[in-house]
Amino acid sequence: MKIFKAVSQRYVAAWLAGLVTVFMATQGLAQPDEWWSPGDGRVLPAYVEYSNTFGRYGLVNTQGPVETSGHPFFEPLGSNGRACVTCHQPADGMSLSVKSIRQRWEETGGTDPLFAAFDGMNCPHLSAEDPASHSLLLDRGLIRVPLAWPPRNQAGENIEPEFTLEVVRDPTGCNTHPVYGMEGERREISVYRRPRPAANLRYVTSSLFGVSRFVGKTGMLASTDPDTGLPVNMNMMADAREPTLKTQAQSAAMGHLEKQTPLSAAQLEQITTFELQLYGAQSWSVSAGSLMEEGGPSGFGPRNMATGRDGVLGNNITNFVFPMEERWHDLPDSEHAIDANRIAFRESVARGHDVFFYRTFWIKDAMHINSVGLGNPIKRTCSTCHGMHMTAMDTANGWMDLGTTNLPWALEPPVSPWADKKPEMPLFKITCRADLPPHPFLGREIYTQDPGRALISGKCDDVGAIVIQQFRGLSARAPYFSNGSAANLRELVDFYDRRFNIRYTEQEKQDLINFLRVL
Amino acid sequence: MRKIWQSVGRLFLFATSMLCTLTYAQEQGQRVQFVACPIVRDTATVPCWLTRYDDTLYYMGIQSDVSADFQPPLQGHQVLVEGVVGSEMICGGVVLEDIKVSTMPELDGSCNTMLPAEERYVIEVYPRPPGPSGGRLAFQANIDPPVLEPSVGQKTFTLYFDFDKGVTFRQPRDLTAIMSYAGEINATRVEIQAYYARHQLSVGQALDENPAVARRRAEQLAELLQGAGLEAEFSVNWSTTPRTGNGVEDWRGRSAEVTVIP
Repeated sequence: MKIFKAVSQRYVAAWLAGLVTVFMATQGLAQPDEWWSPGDGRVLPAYVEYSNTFGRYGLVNTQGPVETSGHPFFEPLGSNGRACVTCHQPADGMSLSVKSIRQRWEETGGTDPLFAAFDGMNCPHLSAEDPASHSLLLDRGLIRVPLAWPPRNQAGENIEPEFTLEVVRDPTGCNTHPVYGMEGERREISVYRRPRPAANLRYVTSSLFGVSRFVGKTGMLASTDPDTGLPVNMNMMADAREPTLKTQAQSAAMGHLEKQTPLSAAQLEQITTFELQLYGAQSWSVSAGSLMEEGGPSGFGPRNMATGRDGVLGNNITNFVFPMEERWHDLPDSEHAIDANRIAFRESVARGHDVFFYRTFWIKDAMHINSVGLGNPIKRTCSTCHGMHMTAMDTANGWMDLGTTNLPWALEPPVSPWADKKPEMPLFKITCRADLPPHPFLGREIYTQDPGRALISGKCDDVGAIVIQQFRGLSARAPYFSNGSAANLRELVDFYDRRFNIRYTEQEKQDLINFLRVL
Repeated sequence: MRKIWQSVGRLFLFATSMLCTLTYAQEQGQRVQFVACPIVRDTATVPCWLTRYDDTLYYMGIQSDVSADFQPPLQGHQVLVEGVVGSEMICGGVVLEDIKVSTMPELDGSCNTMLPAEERYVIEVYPRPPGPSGGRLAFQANIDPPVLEPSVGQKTFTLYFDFDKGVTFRQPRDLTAIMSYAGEINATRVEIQAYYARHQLSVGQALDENPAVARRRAEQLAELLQGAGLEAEFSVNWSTTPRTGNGVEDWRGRSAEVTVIP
């Protein structure tokens, strides 16, 4: 009887595996080569899917297949062999996952251009062969971002910061280095950040909501598009330092790619045009099934991203952030086990949506949300800050301090005689000027792993303020937060639970995680 | 025994409420100005904001959104409150009418009182729920449409600030209006005059802003308007004496005037 049972199980497993293979083949979903090396010369199809742990990520190119040979997004234009695609991998939600980074290290022995000394190492002076020199990239998916100190405005003039900055801890050795440190030849500060997804950028750069010459949250001047002179939404990059896709591409080419001469106007146009035609989202869930099916929630899947409205406030019951139209709420029961599991998961996703959208908690001491007229604390929901329709970014000028990089909330290893884990991130002490009002929640002395927007604006109030990230393709691109401090979605949810004392139930946490996984 | 204690308790409550009523009746209509900790009370709907001064709990307003006249202060700080003692009780507090609040800049960790929801305190009218809105700002519909006046001649815009603060989230609308008007009349000159305020508190003391804030307001406004592309001759001035308050709308002293001249 046992033999029969074992044979039966194997038969079912094989049958299921075969079914999946046949299905993928008939659907044209045979796995493409996952890693895109610079100069691969492949064609990027009009639609492509890549597997991840929780299903598949789908990428739509609204202008059809792209011949990548000779395309500046895909070619190694700089001196270190990298291309834009190196850190914006289609399989990783147009970002870069730690899983891929580690795999790349294993496959190339650390010789892939991804691990370039300039910013793929903790600091360029370290030994390139030693994986410890790349620990922040290998462990947390972080790229070094060297920034000028003191900061400069858009015209390149020095800004007098409202604070002094001191390096308290320098585990990478970069911030105290005689060449790369803030007192070194280059007078730079190195912070370490995750690459952001280069997809859905029509939403990210939209100027249709909340964009004016003056930043709504602070009254300060908004950055302008150097080509048009018009204000921009300042929602791109962790610190909003680049106003447009073109300036970002130029800066990235000169920095990350170590290109010696600027990109041409034609190359910039080609890159930005390409970026604006890409839409990505989870397309299929191992547990929920298709996220693109006819009649499914209109907030899911890459095709809905391609046709959705940008610049729309979604923190309301008119637009919603991720509209589900109640389609996965209270689904009819099924007698079939597979269907029953799928239904149960879909209902969990629907509950997770409601946790995201309706579950109130006290938001307290969060700069640029509590400080903009709403009061401290406010009783609101996740979607208060994550309010942009279809992406859950903030709508404009979206930098806030949710506590991911500032102490006391930022993730730090415990310090005790029994703890052997050493801090990986640098730590800076910010001392705000005595003749100006203090930071309203952190006072005049602030400790931070990454001063965020303040390294660009020079404002004390901006210390640790980070531009809110889009929620799309989360399953494809762990870890999370700008400093990679949440290794997975559970850690992300737990961070918020601690930070705002939300006291989610286990069910709420799991539902919220399931919801985030299908975005 | 239990009944006796209940009766004593009821009597105490009655006496307390009478005392409150009497105290409150004596002060009704009086203008008060004080610095105290803001208190937030949860309710089944939106939180309400209270503050305690001279043994009286005052109601300041409710949580809504950025379009509301009353914008709650920040806990972790004291708040400067100016208002007229009203006749209503909401959320357990005596309503302060015509209220203006301004968060004091320095931190005060003792200002952290959060009261739990109680069934007896109900906020029934709340234009914006604590979660997602109905699709528009809470008070958008209540804003009168602007009176369209011809854009001719010089015009003075008055901007108001929080205590000891320069430009914040409160100013972008005014700054945008100034830019717009300056563009319409092809402004050739902009005159900025900024002030700092003296507040006459109810306890008899005066509370001055930092005199340096007048200069900061003036220079910030000039820098922002010039940075936004307003090409004109700028005259930037600030007061070195406080706008003296007499306890009535002293908040108006925390201001700057921007005159746009063709």
